[in-house]
Amino acid sequence: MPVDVVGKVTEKRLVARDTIRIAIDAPEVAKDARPGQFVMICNTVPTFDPFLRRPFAITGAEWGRIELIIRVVGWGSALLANLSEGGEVRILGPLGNGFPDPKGGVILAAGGIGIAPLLFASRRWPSAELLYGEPSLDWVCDLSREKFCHFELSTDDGSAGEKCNVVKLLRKRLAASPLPVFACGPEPMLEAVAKACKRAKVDCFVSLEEHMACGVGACQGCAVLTKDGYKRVCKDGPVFDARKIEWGKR
Amino acid sequence: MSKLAVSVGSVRLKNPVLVASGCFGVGREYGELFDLSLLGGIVTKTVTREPRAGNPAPRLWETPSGMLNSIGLANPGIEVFIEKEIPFLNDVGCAVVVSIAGKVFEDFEELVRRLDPIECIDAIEINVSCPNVKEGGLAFGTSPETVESLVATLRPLTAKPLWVKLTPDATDIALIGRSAVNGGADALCAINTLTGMEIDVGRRVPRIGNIFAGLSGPAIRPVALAKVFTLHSALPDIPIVGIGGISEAGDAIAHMLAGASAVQVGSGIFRSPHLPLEVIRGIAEYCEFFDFAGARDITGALIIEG
Ligand SMILES: Cc1cc2nc3c(=O)[nH]c(=O)nc-3n(C[C@H](O)[C@H](O)[C@H](O)COP(=O)(O)OP(=O)(O)OC[C@H]3O[C@@H](n4cnc5c(N)ncnc54)[C@H](O)[C@@H]3O)c2cc1C
Ligand SMILES: Cc1cc2nc3c(=O)[nH]c(=O)nc-3n(C[C@H](O)[C@H](O)[C@H](O)COP(=O)(O)O)c2cc1C
Ligand code: FES
Repeated sequence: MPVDVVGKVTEKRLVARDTIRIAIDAPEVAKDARPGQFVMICNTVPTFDPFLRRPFAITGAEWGRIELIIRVVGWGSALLANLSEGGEVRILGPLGNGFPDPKGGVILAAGGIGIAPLLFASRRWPSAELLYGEPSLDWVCDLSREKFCHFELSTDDGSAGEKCNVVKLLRKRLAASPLPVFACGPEPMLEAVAKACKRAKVDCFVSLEEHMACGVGACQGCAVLTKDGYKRVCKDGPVFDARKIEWGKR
Repeated sequence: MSKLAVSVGSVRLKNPVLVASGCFGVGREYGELFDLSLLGGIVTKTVTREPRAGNPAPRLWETPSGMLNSIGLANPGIEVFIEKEIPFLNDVGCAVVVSIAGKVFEDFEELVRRLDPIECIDAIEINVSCPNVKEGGLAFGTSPETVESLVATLRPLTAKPLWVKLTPDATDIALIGRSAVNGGADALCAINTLTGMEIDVGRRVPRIGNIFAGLSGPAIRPVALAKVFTLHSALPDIPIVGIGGISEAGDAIAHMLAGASAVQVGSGIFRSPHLPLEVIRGIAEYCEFFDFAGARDITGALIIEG
């Protein structure tokens, strides 16, 4: 069950260009959190700019702390990234369904900031393999504290890892041996991942993004079109079976 | 009677704070966060005769101190609503107001007929003010004749109080309010969202899939207060439920001073799920501090000098 609490920022560091990783003391949120779930956060100052909370995937939920990776793309994320250690945020969560328990091995495919929920998955399910793509080295999040059983990196310009996108890494990996895939990233990437999985005949679960207001399923603002009609990304998702998504349709 | 208790016509509320239609579902989700029986009441997401899938995405866009929404009255239709949601609402422990909308008069009539026998429903809110549907919304709500004859048509179908939710987009809201009362409305709810739009200048496309959307949040509070005040001045004997831009207790109190007997908290809940409870607490403190015997005495207590 979600809770709405005020949490203290206990740790903050820059992990890539415009990208910070923070830990927030919030034991009630961390308690039952599972990979793929998210939180809605805002600052505690009574200001209405921005008015709505912002959704962020849970990157870690250990020791009573919620970890987030926040990439600055606009005003709301900039304010959150400007929080200092000791500062406070309002945090509502854990929200959404999360990834299903993989029954064996699983491949995690992360495009850009889509890495955030998949790091949690890789910790929870240590046999998971991680494939991670960014435009260039400066955007690649520092993962030196993480352990992976298998890790591959790609950048579009070849400044780190293989020079290709993450979908290409995935196709190669699936050609070697088929495993189910959990993916998070920009929509065009997810659509390509879904196609690759369909061809390889493996299960594929994608974590989607949509603008959100309530984050709990009450307002129906975050609708995504699926084969079973509109679904709420915040409550019915954010993780969906890729076969159910009507890609590119609104 | 508790200090916080108020009445909206014949509807008794344990406190003046309801949650607004469309911002709370029927309360299932927020019911996980707090005890719903603490609320004055719940106004359900507008229900229509047939199920509605809703408008194409994107349905939301944030604006300065507010937001645009174009949900398009997505709802499962009256059949499923009665089967699935009424048992839940039966146990919420606060007043239940069911919001309805239709494309034609017959839709409204059928909805009222279906809701009339359901005991846990305290009032029916007639939504003739949704900016996000082609028929029945603003087209009805901006025409005094249509509003009057719609309410007059529904009046004989039920003994339940009929609340009419008004749009701020009408040229003269008092005229629409009076028409609703002439038709037999028991209370007026003001306001629904203002019609708005945003544009992505880089891609040269509207931000919202349906182009037009409804503006809500702190940005509309001054508009809402003006409409409530206008209605209360024109129709001092008609109970008004104030809606629009409530994001702290003081905003709700402002609505009441302007003439509202009760208020509905809408999109402010998205930022602070516990907001309705904070508002209830704040109203109690206000009564204490300013020596109001009860919350009902705040209604219309605005001082206009000169
Ligand atoms: C379930 C979920 C999990 C997410 N997890 C993370 C995460 O772990 N780390 C992270 O950095 N970001 C994450 N996001 C995206 C994050 O919520 C947005 O980047 C943030 O809300 C932008 O706010 P802003 O005020 O900075 O940007 P705005 O000024 O509102 O917008 C700047 C740009 O970002 C786009 N944008 C705004 N909100 C969203 C959104 N919800 N989804 C996609 N694009 C958006 C806008 O269209 C615009 O182009 C997640 C989103 C969702 C829905
Ligand atoms: C996401 C959303 C959905 C809404 N859906 C409805 C609805 O179905 N029926 C209705 O009468 N009003 C609906 N409204 C309008 C609200 O009930 C309220 O009148 C309006 O938002 C102004 O109040 P606020 O500023 O407190 O949000 C909706 C508002 C929002 C933000
Ligand atoms: S954001 Fe309100 S239903 Fe998803």
